[in-house]
Amino acid sequence: MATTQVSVPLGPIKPRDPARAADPTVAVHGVSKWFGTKVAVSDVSCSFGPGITGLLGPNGAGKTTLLRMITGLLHPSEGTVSVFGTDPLRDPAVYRRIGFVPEDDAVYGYLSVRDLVRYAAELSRHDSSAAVVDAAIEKVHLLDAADRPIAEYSKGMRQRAKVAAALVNEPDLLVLDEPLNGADPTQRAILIALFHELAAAGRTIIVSSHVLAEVERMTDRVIAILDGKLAAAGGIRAIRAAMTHIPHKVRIDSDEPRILGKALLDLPAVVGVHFEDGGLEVQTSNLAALGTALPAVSINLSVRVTRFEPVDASLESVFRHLLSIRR
Amino acid sequence: MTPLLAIVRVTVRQLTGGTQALGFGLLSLVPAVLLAAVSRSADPGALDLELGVLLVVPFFALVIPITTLILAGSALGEERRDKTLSFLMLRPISRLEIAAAKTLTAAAVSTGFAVVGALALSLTWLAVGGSFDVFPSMVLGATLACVMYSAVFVLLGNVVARSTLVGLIYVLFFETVMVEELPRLAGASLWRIGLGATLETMPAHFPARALLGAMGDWIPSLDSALIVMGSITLVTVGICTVLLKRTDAI
Repeated sequence: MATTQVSVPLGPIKPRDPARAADPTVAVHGVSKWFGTKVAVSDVSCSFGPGITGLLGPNGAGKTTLLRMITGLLHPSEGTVSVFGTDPLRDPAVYRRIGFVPEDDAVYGYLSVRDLVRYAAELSRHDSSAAVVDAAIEKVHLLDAADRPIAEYSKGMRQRAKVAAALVNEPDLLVLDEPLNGADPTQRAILIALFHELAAAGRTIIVSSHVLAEVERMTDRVIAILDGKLAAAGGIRAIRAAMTHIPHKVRIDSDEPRILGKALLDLPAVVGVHFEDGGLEVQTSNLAALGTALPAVSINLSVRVTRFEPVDASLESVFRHLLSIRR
Repeated sequence: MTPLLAIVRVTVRQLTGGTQALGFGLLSLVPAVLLAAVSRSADPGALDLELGVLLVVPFFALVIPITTLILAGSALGEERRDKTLSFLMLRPISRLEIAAAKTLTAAAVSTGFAVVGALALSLTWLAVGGSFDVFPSMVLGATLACVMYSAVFVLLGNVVARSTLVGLIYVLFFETVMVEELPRLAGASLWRIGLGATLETMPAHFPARALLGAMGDWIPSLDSALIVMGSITLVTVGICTVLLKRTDAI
């Protein structure tokens, strides 16, 4: 689900909007979780709606703890979690609509994937017929190995087995904690395509990962957690745009980079210019102003501009900025 | 299939998979092997007593408790240790169903091994003593003991990481050493309650009186053994249900 809303409460960045989905399936209100004296999640409020939302954060940031509170595996120390308008801890019936893929290598090694998926269907009070079970296994391309014990599977295959078990009851909410761990590039492509397909069908998918490139392939909407706190939420470009105190980096290629670079330095919006690989990397405090001024400058100098591209609006660079704010 | 039966089916595979079934099966045969060995040298007139001693010491006091504590402790404990508990918890099923299914399965599987042991003992007794009539009573007492141990150790496995160690301390130290020294604690020894039911229902020729010394101060009747078993099971399954509801599953 694409959204332009953004919330970046860390550091000097001003929040423009809360981290709320337009049509929330999952609502998290002021949730904290501590284990003894260690605070794992601190006062996080956010929501998730149909489509894919990436939950980002370095290892130990609190992503898994937050996901476990959303699913009801952990009780919040403070705050509330609502899934489809109810608290899963009080109303287990809501689990008919939830699928969960845990981060841990938590599978019954003595079962085959066919047994595992059938077991999941039976526990969910769902149709556990062979056709339904095989359809779920087919979605993750494991039918050929469906009768082998999961203990013999590679890590990537075990991940896909868990995804098949999570999908068999056709959940409206799918919570995926590092679902691509151990998967090879082909398997990743299969799973990402599957998640896109489910999102297009209106399912809510929350996917946690510390591999930013993967999240970027899946979604534009992210919620970033750092040190247990909500660090940012919204569209990746919107989050980056809200970081007004951090100069934007723009790659500009032209036939006369030195002449253009010197002229750009005279613009008030330009903070610095570096020559790189025959082009320019321009740092600007106002991306829009630079974009507006560049055509006039190039015409005045008779310089032909062949490329103008922000280079730090990727998820990775946004996340790097968030980490630098924390430090 | 209902969720409860599905949990039972998978838990049976969990508890009997690999070499576990073979190990527990062999363990259950140990008293019969001992009886066969002892019967070769014993005075034929003392065979009833030999069977009695072998019932009490290796079968009721060791084989049943150790088999059951390992099986029952891992029924939920292994799910916590292997982090598969989320697979059960995030389903539209009540926590009572989970606790009951785990306890029921642990009791059924451990009773199965106990029945094998009782059968082997009875067949051995048939070979050396000429009668098989001790079998039903042994099965009755063993079943009661297995149900009680299962109820307690499923709960223990849910709350303690090293439930087998704690269980061994209970069986080998409390039930063996402490109750020997303080017979008034006999009411807290689960195998003695099962044995009480066995002794009450044994055929008349069986030297039940010779075993009373092992029972401590309280010699339960079949009725009181059934009441204790029912109470222990209800209370422990209830506690297990509440803990599954109110504590973190990971």
